[in-house]
Amino acid sequence: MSLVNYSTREITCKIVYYGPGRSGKTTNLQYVHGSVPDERKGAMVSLATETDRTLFFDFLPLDLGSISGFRTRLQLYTVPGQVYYNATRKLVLRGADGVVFVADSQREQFEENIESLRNLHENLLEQGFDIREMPMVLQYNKQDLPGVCTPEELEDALNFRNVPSYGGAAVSGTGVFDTLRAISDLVLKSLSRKFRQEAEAGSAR
Amino acid sequence: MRRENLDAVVKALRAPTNRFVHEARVRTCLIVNGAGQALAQHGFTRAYEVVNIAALAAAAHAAAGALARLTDGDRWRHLHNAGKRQQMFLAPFRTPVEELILVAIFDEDSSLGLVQLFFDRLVSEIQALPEFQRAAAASSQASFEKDLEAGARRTTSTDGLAEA
Amino acid sequence: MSDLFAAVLTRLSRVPGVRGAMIVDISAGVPVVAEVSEGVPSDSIAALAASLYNRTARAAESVAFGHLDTLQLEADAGHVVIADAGETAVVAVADRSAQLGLVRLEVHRAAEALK
Repeated sequence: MSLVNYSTREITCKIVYYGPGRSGKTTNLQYVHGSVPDERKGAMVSLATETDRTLFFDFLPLDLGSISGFRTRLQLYTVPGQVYYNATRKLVLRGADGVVFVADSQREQFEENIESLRNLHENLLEQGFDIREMPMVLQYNKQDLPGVCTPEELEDALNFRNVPSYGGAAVSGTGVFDTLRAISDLVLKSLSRKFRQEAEAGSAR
Repeated sequence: MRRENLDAVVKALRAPTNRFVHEARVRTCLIVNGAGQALAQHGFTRAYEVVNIAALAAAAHAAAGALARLTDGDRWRHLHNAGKRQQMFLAPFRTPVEELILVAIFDEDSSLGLVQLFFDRLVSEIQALPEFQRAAAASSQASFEKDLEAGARRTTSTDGLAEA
Repeated sequence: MSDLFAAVLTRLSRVPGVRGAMIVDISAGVPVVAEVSEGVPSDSIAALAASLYNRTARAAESVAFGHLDTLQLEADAGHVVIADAGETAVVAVADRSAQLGLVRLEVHRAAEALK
């Protein structure tokens, strides 16, 4: 849930990168961290296994600067992708303002993508989120590998909400910032809509 | 931990774990490795309970470790959650091969001091087990998740050596 | 409070034959303050003394003997005396050579001072 501080004029939003194991969620954050200047980012925290699988989460705080007079901060999180870690995934998903679903374009991971998306919906529902209201962007990662599913194939299978989607190769940065910009945009628009609605409800009383 | 080792490890941990449960008078306990794979348990009948607690225990350990590093603290020794009815003790320990984590749930029949006392003995016993002297082969990508789940199944099956 | 604990323990540990004196958190089974001779494992004693005390107290209540005031253990090499002090307990570990009556008296005195 976004934190808005009217006295200091700061907004903080939480964005969670979701998807099956090894789809490139952590790689997205690592690329962002490597590319953003120091004054716009905090330290990246990664809680991982010895073999570098995300065990709990990765965390990266970003400063987007001033948007409509508010200092806007993003907190990017990833979740562990393996089915086994569902209890942990639920914890990290709490209070999310937006979700980036990072799909693995490799053919052998096709079912894993579908299962992971289903799991996301299930976990969001459990936390009382309306899945249709949750700002979301799809990233079809690993497009740089040979013989992978095309974005069109993945669109058919995964994008039934018709949310913004981008092909990507996170390891080289392709699609990483497009995805991040799109989700930030959606989250901030959603936030401003909520404020307008609250303001209108307030003045109607 | 590779599957080839798993049966031997689960079997080897049974006796020390049972001794610990009996002497420290805890209700349930679980031993997991750093990735959250369950290697021993007592008191659970359902694999999904084992999986959830194992994953969260590994996460708690990782988070506590990160906190300790951020605050320039030493390696943390244990976490203690004193609930109303039940308490939880969560502590890492090193073996020659890998780091393991004990989670123990106890009530008024035991105490933090008692659990700590017998935890130290449990650690000494496990550190001396032959199954923990040799490093297991690293898990491949494909088998990583299968290995995690195999741990939960092995520790909750009545015959730990049967292929689930 | 810690001055009181220290004073109480110092007096108790000076009784001839007493090898260890401690104030134990009964529910946690850990020592709050301990004054022990070399080689006396205060952590283990605290855990086991608290456990013994708790279980014996429950047994006493279940047979309607009321509140457990003191528990005394006699073994080949010595005695352990545990006395209720409210949320804590006073524990003394003494050699066989110690005057048990005096040890018990001082343990009770310590427990009263803490209540």
